[in-house]
Amino acid sequence: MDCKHWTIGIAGALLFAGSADAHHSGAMFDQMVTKTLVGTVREFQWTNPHCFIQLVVKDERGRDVEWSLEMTAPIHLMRLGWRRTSLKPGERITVTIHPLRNGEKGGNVVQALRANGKPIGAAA
Amino acid sequence: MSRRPGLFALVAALAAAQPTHAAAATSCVPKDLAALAGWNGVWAVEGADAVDQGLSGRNGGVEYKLIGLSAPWNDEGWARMGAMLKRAAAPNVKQGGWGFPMMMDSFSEFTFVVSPAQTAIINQYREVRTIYTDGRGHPPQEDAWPTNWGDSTGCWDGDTLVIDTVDVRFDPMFNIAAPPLSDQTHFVERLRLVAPGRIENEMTVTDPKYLTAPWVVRLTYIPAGIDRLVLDASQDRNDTVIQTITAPPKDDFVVEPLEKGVALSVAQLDGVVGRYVIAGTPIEFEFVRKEDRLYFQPPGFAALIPMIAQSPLVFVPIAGGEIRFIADASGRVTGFEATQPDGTVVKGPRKTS
Repeated sequence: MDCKHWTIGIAGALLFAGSADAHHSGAMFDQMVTKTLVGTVREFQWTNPHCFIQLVVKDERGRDVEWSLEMTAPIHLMRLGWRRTSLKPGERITVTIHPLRNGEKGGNVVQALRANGKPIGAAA
Repeated sequence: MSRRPGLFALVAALAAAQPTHAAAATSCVPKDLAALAGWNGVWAVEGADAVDQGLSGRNGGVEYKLIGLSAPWNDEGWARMGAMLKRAAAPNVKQGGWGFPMMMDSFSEFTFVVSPAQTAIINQYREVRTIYTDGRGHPPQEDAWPTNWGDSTGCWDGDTLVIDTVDVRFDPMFNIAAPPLSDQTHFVERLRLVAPGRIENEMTVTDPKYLTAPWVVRLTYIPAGIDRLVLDASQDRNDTVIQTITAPPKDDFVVEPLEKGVALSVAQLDGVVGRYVIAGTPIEFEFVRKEDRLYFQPPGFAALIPMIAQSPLVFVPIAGGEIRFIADASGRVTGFEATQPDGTVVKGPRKTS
């Protein structure tokens, strides 16, 4: 647990985390839960208002399941060293997310690493 | 309902020695446009910068000063704040943009376009504030109505841009994450490049309906570190595998009167005042008393959240949830247990009284 998570509830989500973004609140993501996915990029959507990684991940039964992983807007990713070409279809990556509360295969990207373990973006 | 600054606003503004209208044309245009070259570039709000929010855009820790948690609300205003906070915490609340005043204290980068007759402030979401500096006043009342950005006039006072804004509406459908002020609110901003790469904005907000006094907010803008604004059309995502963005419902901004709660004595309130720590974490926060009300102060923030007393040891924050203070056999408070609006429970000891 960290400061922001606790204050979300007490202060009412918005000013500390939920609405850092002006497109929609982040309340659908469970920011108390962190999940790591290893998968193959099907598509990297360099789109407003949010970029998305469409990641194909094997489920516990070995079936391919596609996850839709929301990121911040292109301008903000650019400032973090990302470009529209930062991910290619077929690339294997490891992504840490806050998953959707409703159990659907989606989440909010917290960290993204290449297969060699290096972060994608400025530090890559 | 008047859409002009009311007497309260005008008097308050005059008392603050800030002009309410662009009165004289010759005094409003910049005297030396070339000297304002330092305003060029792309700017971010210090403390609310997107790069601090990581890949998710939601790392947290941002205290949007203009949200209003430090504003001098009356009880009706606090009731509206409570409704806004609850509404903003709901999932999938789509926001159309920031609007004014939030676009001056937002996650979104922006630029100034300065010309003699007008200055435009354009942000990442293609929101535009036009500030007329040719000496004109606001439109006459019959031609004015509240909008998400209001109507702005300005004057260059040396190297300071003084902006006067009226006719701003709080529009939950457009952006719920905004101070729920009335459309009688009057804003006066004083922006100045105080050093290379640093613009300060002192905004004085007066609202005769929901504020008890002028509300002064100080903001600082810093270079965003990019060479141009990448505009956000907010429209071009076509994937629908998991759609995280949905339109907000139209009728769910419900303001209920601020609950009066149980009247407690100053001694009873002071009995729970103090610094607390969340068990198992280094996180500390405070409960403070101001006059006859208890407030929660989140860790690291200036904001104060009103707490409504249910009993001497049980309080409800305006945004929902519940705080129960734990007392020992002597009646001294030794800790707390908080139930958040989502049902999560956290607890911990009192560190200092």
